[in-house]
Amino acid sequence: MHKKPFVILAAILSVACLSAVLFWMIADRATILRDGREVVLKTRPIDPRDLLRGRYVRLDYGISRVPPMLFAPGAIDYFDSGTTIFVRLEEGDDGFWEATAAAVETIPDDSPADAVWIRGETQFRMSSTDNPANVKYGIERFYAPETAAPEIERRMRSGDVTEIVVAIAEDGRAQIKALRQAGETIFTERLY
Amino acid sequence: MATFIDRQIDDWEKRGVIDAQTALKLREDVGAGLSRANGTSAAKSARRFSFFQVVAFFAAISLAAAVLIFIAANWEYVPRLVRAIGVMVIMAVGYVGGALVNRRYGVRRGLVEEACYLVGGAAFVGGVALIGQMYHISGDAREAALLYAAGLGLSGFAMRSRALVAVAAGWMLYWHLDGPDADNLLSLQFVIFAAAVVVGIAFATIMKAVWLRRFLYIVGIVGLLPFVGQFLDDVLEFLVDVYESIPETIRVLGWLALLALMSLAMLFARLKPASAGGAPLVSGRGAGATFALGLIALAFLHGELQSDGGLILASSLAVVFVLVALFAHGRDRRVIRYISYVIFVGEIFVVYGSTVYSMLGTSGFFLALGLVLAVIAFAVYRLERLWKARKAREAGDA
Repeated sequence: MHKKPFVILAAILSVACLSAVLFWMIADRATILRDGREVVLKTRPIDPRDLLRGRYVRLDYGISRVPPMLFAPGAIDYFDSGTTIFVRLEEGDDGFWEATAAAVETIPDDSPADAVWIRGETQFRMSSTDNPANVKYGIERFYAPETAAPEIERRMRSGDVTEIVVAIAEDGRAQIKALRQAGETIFTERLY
Repeated sequence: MATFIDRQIDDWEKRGVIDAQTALKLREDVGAGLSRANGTSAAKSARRFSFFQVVAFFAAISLAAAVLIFIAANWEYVPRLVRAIGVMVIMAVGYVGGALVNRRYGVRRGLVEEACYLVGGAAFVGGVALIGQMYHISGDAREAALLYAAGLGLSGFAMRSRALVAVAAGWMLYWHLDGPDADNLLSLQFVIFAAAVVVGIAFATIMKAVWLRRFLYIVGIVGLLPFVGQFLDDVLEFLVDVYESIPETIRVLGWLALLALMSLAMLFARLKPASAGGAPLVSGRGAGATFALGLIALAFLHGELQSDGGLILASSLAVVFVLVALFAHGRDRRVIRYISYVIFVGEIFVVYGSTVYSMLGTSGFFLALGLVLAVIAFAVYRLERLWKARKAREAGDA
């Protein structure tokens, strides 16, 4: 038995399936960018660099720490790390969106239809109501082209406020849409 | 080619350039020549099966990574769909290319075939990372690992590629160990991990791939470690505490002394084999133990000397030790020889990684790494031939 039967067919099918996965990922993200609700978040950069994926800037948001009091129906006093939570965002007077309510596992049934809920995961186990919950939303990295990254990072560090425009899908998944500083757009995402 | 020459002979015969008898003779000669040539190339490929091929794979993979990152980093004006199509093309070239190699040569080019599959698989992993980068998905490395394991594992089964299945098992192990329930045997996570390993072992058994089966056993055992880990953890912690209570200078000097002692023992075994007599560590038979103790000393030295200068010192010592080992036992001990090569490449990688990396961009780093590995592959290939020639000469002399 020297040759494997149907190996070329298997190769073509494998390539097709794996490519489908890649294209589905792109289509999924493009859909969020195109159809998602737009919100503006306040952010602070932390620190850069990831070996495999080129340069990125790590971002930290105001909504990254959710106070326990926001949770409905009552303050939660225990989370495992990796718990799915939903945070309701509302636009403040300054144009930035802030967390106004939070729920564990599902969006509450009595939520108004036009409310914007963003989906996140708790980072650490939490067992008291004293500290805010650390939540990640999947928008904590901004990848920049290697040549432009230092410049963007410098601008983010020097400006005291940087705005990130985020698109949020119906199911709460978020996607970075644009980078702004004092209302001036620094970088915009294209769909494809 | 055979058909071209055959057609040429037919043509000559038809046009009367040669007669029927000559045509027959020519055809026979061409046939014999071809089978002779096939014989030698097969023998050659068997001879060339060596560490050289393995390093050549590393070079190939690094180059593939360089290409991917180059695209990712510099061609930001290339539309994303085009970039994804590029990745798909590499995937197709790898997978279909490997399949064609199998169709054409069967198992004779098994390594080349697996290398092709690995390039295809690397393109998939790179593609997912690329899309993550394009859409700023900070995501979860663990989720990605499961995707890699599924993609590479299933396509590995489909193409009956042992290498892909082994890589997928590695990702699966990462997914399991990194998970929240790694130490809980009753969790869904462990059940999925165990099921994946069992399926892999079944595949390896059907394929009669002994090394893959062993590898999967090891993966399974390592996956169980967090469960038994608590106990091991305590023991390890105690040992580390004891070790750390020794002053640093004494620790470094101790390891240096051990390393020097082992180097001397190996040199002694090589230069004065007769007088060594039965002393266990100095005789040729103790070569493995001497070598292993030296390696342990090196590993700890690497741990102690973390600064830039210290790293260079530890790496230099490692290269010297490896050269001594090659000089003393390289000819007779294949395992020592190969481990020495691996350590040499590893040291290059570490020093290179910590010094050159900061000077080059990411894609430049991988590109340069690929080139360096290719050079090393070539050097190792020459070395292997040298050993072989020396051995053959000595066999001839005896």
